[in-house]
Amino acid sequence: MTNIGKLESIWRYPVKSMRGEAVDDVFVAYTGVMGDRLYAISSSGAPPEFPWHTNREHEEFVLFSASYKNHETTLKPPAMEAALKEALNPPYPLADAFALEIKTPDGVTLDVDDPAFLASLRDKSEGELTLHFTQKNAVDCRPLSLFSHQTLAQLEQETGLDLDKRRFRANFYVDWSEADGFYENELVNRRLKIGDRLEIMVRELDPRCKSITIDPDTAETHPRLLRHIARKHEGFAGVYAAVLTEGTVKPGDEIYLVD
Amino acid sequence: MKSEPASVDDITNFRVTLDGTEHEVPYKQGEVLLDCMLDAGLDPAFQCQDGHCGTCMVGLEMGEVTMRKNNVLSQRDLDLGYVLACQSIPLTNDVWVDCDS
Repeated sequence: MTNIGKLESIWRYPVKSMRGEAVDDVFVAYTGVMGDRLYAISSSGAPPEFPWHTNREHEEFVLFSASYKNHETTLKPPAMEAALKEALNPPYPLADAFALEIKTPDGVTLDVDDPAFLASLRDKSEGELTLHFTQKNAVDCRPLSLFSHQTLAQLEQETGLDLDKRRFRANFYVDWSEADGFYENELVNRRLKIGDRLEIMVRELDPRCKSITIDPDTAETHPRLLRHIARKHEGFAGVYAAVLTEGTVKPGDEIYLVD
Repeated sequence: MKSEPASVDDITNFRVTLDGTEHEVPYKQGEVLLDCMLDAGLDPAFQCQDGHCGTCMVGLEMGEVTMRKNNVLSQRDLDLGYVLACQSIPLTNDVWVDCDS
């Protein structure tokens, strides 16, 4: 195995399309980072194959934040050690372990199932909004997304923009040891080991959309970054991965190229 | 300037600003603006061509268009004058879109 870099930070997004949170020492299941995108808001006005209310139609949605009320219980399944020892898939706790609070941009804190939360979004959607809960992570395409600091630096250099990595909404931000930007593109169909146990396979390049044009702190948008990626990088920045072997990870974990 | 209504047959060109340069692009009946730009040899940003990624959003500086569908632009974008080139059909004969805006 070749050491190719380190895991810089791990992120999850309790509510799809809202602000994410950095987490330490977290379990990564076949479905992705524990607690990632367990909640999502659907809109009856959106296409059935992608029914979600997102920051694309409602840019200020990125200014809403969410936090699990019992943070520690949402990082690792209760019987994780015993299950992994037997090569079993550790069961997740019941849904109430993932009780969630929302903080609106106005500073109001609401339970996620408080009708006032959806009511606060109503004028931003043409359809009826419904709260979804799932334990299989409401990701767009694949369980994990990965983005490198080198790619961020290259995009900053190419565009002259000062870019916040959070625009890219990855699960894993990584720091390659000796590679240039977009090195992750070369890892498609390669197997990586991260930390003691987690193994992932990079499956495909991450096609970007309007979401990356939104400033995560102000919700202001400018299409320039997206246009640049489309014209210079065929629309892709970062990669998607599938989980082959479940395990826990933490910032600083070494990343190895297995094969 | 007020847009002049036009029948489909009246619309033969539209104007495009791309990388700071203005272009007069032939309009082919029934096609969307993006396809006409590509046919004219221009290199605008685009990706899905299906109205959901937003890569081809351009500023409508003049004229009127209709979008076949829009699954990505917000009301804020529309209020700012953005349209999707991959979904836009001109309705007037003075359409000008800015790919740099």
